[in-house]
Amino acid sequence: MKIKQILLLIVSIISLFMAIYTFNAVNQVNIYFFHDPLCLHCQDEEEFLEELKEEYENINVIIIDVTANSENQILFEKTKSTFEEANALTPYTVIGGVSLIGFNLQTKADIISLIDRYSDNDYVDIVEKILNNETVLASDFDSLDRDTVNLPIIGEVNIGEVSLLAGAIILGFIDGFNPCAMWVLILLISVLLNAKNKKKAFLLGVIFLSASALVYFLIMMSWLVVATQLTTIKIFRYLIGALAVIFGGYNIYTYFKNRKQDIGCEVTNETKRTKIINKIKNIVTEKHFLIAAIGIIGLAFTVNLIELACSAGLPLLYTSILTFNNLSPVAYIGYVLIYVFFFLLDDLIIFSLAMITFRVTGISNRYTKYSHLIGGIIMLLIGFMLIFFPNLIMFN
Amino acid sequence: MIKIIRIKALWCMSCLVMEKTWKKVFLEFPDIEIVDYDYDDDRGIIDNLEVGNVLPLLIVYKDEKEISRISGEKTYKEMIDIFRSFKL
Repeated sequence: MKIKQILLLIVSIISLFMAIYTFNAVNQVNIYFFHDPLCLHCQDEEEFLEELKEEYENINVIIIDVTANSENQILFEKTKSTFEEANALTPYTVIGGVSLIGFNLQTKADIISLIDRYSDNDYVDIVEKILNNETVLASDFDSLDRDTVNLPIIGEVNIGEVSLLAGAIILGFIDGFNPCAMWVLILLISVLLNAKNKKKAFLLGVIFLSASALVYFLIMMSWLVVATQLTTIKIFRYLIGALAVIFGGYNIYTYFKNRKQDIGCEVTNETKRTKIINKIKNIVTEKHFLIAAIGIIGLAFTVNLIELACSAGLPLLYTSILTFNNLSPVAYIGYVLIYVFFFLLDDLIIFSLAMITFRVTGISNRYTKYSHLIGGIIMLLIGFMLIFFPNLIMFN
Repeated sequence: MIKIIRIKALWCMSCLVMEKTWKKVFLEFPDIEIVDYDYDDDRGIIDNLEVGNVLPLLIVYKDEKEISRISGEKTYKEMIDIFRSFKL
């Protein structure tokens, strides 16, 4: 029994090392550098490539002096015409399926990112194909897809990360103005402010908001789990895109339909509301704090689940976008938390103001009605992107 | 004699937002009698008023006869213009 266990351990260790070894195995990356001894930028690039050689063991820099002989000259012309850049001058660099004209800071970054990309992934070496007189296919070309930008102060950032973060902030914030999620908070504050024990009222409010945040978080995470399973199915993207277009279009339609109507609170769902009002009144008058706290948590769960149909569009769409980007579990949770925070931000502000000033202040429905319009437009745009230009939304 | 039935709700943001405006407007018309009802608590009383589905709602009576309805959010100027049109 013991020997068996030891053997198992040894086998596991060996396979682990093998796994690490295979993981570390990198491709040889050929860098074809067309240069002219008289051009200054060529000298800069040559120095840069020399430095790179020391840093990367797997790169092979092939320097082609286009003035040296007619063979080199012909290869240069053939390569340029293959990339449809017949007028390009030296320095001219080709790595795999990408050509780079000139040499500057951006070229440096591009060369490094291409080395990184091809070290780990198989690629087609177009110049090698030309040298071997093979036909270059359209699918052999690669693109740079510069996924980082240099921002002042902040430095180099990943476009994908920034976009997902901005999405969480903007969509969460707009979602927060959704009137169907707001009325319960206003009702709660109105009742709480009449309560005698201000400290208890404040605590109940905080518990309600925290529980609401938790429900929202759980709903988004559940959808995330489902959606990550479905992203492998190609049609899922089109389905989500189509749903976004339909919901977005419907939101825009309702905005224009109700545009001329008096701006105010729309009365809907009589029975549901009466029940919730009575529940809140019971909770606030409850003598035992613990029972009141449990009651308010239950209320947060029911209300958010009931209102889900009204406000589910944006959060579900945002979580779907996250899954299309294939992130790490920590990143998923992080983005969802940011979304939930900004979703709750306006509620937090209204609640804090009410508790400080002892007055309930609302946000005029003049503004909340735009949440339908803006939310609708964003949904429509994202929907179209998902269907026709998925690259704009899938950063990884 | 002008009387206004004002219907509000605890959960309605527009009602809260309007409070300040109403206060300012009714200071200029001190003779108006205002009766407040809550949309949910005073169901029995307001049931036959056909409140509609936009709150807040002000129902204006002149000599016990309904002359106008003002629903939703209005600016101070809009309110004043409406009240002036009643030729109080």
